[in-house]
Amino acid sequence: MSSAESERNRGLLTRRTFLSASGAVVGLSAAGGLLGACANTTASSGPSARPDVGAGGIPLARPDRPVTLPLYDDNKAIASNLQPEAGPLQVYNWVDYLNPEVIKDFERKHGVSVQVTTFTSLDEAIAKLSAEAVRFDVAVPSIAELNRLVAGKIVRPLNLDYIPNLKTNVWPWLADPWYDRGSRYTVPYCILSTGIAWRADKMPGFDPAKLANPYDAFWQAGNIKGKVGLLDDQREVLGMTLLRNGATDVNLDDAKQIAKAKDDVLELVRRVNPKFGVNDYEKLPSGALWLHQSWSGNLVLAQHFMPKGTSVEVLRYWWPADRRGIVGIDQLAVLRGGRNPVLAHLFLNHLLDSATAVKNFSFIGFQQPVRGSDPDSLVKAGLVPPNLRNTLLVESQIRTGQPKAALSQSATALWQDAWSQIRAA
Amino acid sequence: MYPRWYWRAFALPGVLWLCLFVVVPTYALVAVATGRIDELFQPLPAWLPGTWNIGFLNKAFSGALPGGEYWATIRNTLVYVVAALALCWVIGYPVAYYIARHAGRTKSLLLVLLVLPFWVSYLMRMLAWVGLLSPDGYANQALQAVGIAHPPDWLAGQPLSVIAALAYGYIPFFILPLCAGLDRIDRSLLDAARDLGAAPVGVFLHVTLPLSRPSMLAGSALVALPMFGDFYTNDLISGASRTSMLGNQVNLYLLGGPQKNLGASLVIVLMAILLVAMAYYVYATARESTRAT
Repeated sequence: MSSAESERNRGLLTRRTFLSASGAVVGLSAAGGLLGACANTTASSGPSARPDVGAGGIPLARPDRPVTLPLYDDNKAIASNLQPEAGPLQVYNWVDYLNPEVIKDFERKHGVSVQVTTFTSLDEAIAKLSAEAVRFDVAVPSIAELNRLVAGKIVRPLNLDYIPNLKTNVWPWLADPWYDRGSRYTVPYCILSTGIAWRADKMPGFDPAKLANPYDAFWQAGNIKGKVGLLDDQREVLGMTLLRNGATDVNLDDAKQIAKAKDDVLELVRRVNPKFGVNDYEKLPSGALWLHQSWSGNLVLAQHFMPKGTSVEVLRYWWPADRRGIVGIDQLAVLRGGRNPVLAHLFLNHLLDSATAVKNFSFIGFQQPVRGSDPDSLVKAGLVPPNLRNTLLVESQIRTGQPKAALSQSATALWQDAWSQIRAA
Repeated sequence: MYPRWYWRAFALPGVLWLCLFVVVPTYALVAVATGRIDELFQPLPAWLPGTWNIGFLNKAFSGALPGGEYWATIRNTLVYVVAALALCWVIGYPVAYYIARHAGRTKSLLLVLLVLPFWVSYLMRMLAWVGLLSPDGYANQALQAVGIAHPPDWLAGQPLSVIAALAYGYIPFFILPLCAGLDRIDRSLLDAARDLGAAPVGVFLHVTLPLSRPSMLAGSALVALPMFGDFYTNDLISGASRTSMLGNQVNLYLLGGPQKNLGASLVIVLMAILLVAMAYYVYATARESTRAT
């Protein structure tokens, strides 16, 4: 490049720079004016901003405030006595939350194929289902998402004529549950409790039950810093902290109590630097972590991850003796967009069969609330070691436990903001 | 003589690409960030600027300032990316230099070997690190073998582990362009420097290093950009709050809950940070090319 060209370019660059800068200033001024005219709020809006109402204006169900979910004219249950479709049945599920053998049994029985697609979060699943981007027949929501699925008409009302196992096999409390009176849209799939798991060999003499407040076990674990884990789940961690602080409800929307719980967890993070994850079933057996907030089913699964030479007897689990600990109830639902609604009903019935439930448990580790899946039977069948017997629930514990139920939109945002601060600490 | 539009038409595919995959998604991001969330917790983008709600953008940008809600994650992101980038330079430069200058006939083989681990998925490679760094893993066994009785627990929320994993995960993307850049340096310039009396170190510092700066910048941009948005390396290697990066916060808000507009706003914060970094890159490369001419 000649020096003259270079000079010209330099001049051009200068003018360009000037013009760009001027343009940017004008643009910013215009944008500033435009943004000034924009709304500036982070508040939730609509009916679900009310504390006792969820999506679609459906009241938020609680054990003492049962809800009958609404039916809609444009979303009706299928008629009785229809022939099953030819399939393939499309199931939308969490990873490893269905025994492949159970699927094969269904395929053999009905001469159809079953295809399972997995999701990593229920929001992701709802986004795909509501956009009708995918046409699945069966999904596995939790009760916290039920309002949204019903209001969005993503799930189809059930015709219980196809699901006789609901009445004959399912524990009565969950055959007509408080979150879906009359089982209009769902049947129960798996139940679980959230408790404290630990390695007895690494922490000799330790037992949360010996503490005045057992949940304090995490706050007092400064001596095993780096060996402590919490579930990477806002409802679980903040819910447990609320119980530690004396709350009797893990579904509350009280900003003060949530802020206090958040501050307490932040204190715990400073003291113990816990790891957040949901792979306690692997971390405890490997010895990477010694103390973990755990899902009961994960601990059952942990027995299959024990290293050679380490007995499963070193694993321990605690859930409150007052039976008011956190419990979870997952559901089975038939999806409105599916092409095989009859087959989907038959699949739900299949999963509620007693023998099927035991076979399913042997793979996924999570208990189904059906006859034959009580603690005595599962321990006797050798599926759960005696030292982990308390990972299994009986019907009365599901009645008295604290279920993670749906929250209003504003309360959900409140919980999420608290969780965000904890995870960014 | 071709009409004036003829040559300009060649830019059309690029312009279309830019519109489809850069401009439209960026506008969609702004629309989500300034939009509402429906009852199913799904975003309702505000496509018209007049309907924008900038509350979440405000919250994200004010939270990104020192002392703000998201400052800790932004600080972590900046520190980890800069440290991982420095590691890439320290480890990657000698490797690229050796391959470009001294590998001879084995150059192709070495390049293939360099890329070979990338046939394995990123997730699997990170999981392999979990095995290596576990309390009784090979790293600690090696440390114990040399007399360190109590080696650190690398997976217990250690920033060092996250930085090392980030560097490991992205380093070939740094080495490859650098290798190509070093390979392209005119050998006669090096000979000239030597003829003029420069010692080997002087040749490297005054000729090779300045001439390889554009490739270093390109390699740095290639590795830094994905590192800034990374969240799963930290999830797998640490999982602790104290090593959270901005990508983890974005993931938290976008994966679930009724504040996906806040998640989108945090993505815009990340883009603003990257814009500063990219502006420096453009400025530096422009300066290099001016120098070269």
